[in-house]
Amino acid sequence: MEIIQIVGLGLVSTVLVLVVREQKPMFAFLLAAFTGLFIFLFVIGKIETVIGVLEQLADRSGIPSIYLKTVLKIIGIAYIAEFGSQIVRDAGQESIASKIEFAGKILILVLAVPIISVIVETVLGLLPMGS
Amino acid sequence: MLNWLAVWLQQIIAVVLLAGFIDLLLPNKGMQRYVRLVAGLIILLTILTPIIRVLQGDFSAKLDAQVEEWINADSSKDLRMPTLQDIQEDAKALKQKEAASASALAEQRIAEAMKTGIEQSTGLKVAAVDVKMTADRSGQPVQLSGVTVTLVPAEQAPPDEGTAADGGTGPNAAPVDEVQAVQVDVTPSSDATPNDGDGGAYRPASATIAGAVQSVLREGWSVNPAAVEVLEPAPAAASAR
Repeated sequence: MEIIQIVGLGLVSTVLVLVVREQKPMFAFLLAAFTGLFIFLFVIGKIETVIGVLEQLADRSGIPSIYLKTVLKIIGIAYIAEFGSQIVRDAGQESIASKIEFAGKILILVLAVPIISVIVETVLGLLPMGS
Repeated sequence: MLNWLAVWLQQIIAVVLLAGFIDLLLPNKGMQRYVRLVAGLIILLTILTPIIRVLQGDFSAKLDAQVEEWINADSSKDLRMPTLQDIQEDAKALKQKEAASASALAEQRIAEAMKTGIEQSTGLKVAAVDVKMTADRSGQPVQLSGVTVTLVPAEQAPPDEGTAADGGTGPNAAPVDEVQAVQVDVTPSSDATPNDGDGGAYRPASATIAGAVQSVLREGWSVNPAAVEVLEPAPAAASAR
């Protein structure tokens, strides 16, 4: 029953943050950040099973492994960027958080560049050029 | 034909399932549009696979190569910030360089000052002064560890090997009259072997001259007399052979 542990941890740390925030906002922020980090690391191990299922699926159906790699990288970038930006947003730095998200989006789009180039080449090859 | 169709359909289904999965796994709505674009491109590529294969042969190798190129280009750009260790190593190297040049400059200045001081107070002609300084742990020159004073003999002209070695050690000690004296002494020194001239051109100066030089240095720069070495050319030894 990990969900109970996680929710309990979240509730306890929320109460603590509310108590501490009046006296020391810095410690409240640190508490929130470390709680988030702990939950993230707690659950990141569970994602492994999901990824294993995805790998099996890709193996059995004969998808090129490059697709799966790209997709997993996208998920990783999205999670890390989201996590970092939420911590920064908790500290009140909205603009830095949005920059982190922006960087994540850019990196996701960069991963699509090889696929886009192959498709564009194909489409250009389909067109009867110069004939 | 049917087999190929089955494989193709299987691939499409798997990729669509994969896209659905990553849609579920996504942390927030903000990323969703971007991820959907990439997932859609992958699905499109899978659907287009037969056409691409007809047109371009094996495209997956090409795709692999391109992705590798992207990944390698990312890492080879080396955009990392310099670590603290790198900065400290750089600082250490710079400090050593600076200390070396500072001590070289200090040695040169002190040598010049000593040369003029010795010449003024004792009347001896000094060919070169070589100062060695010891540095402390941080590389700053702290004290004089050794002074070598090379004298030019006042009345007696040195033989040609002596002058050659003299000119080599002290560049500013090459008066014109010594060169004339070399021309005069060509015949006696021609039977002297050249390595004699190299090795035995200098000998410790006599005690009175050395004592005078040492006292000047001790008064002016508080140099320990034991660290002062006074040399003069040994013309008699060279010309006797």
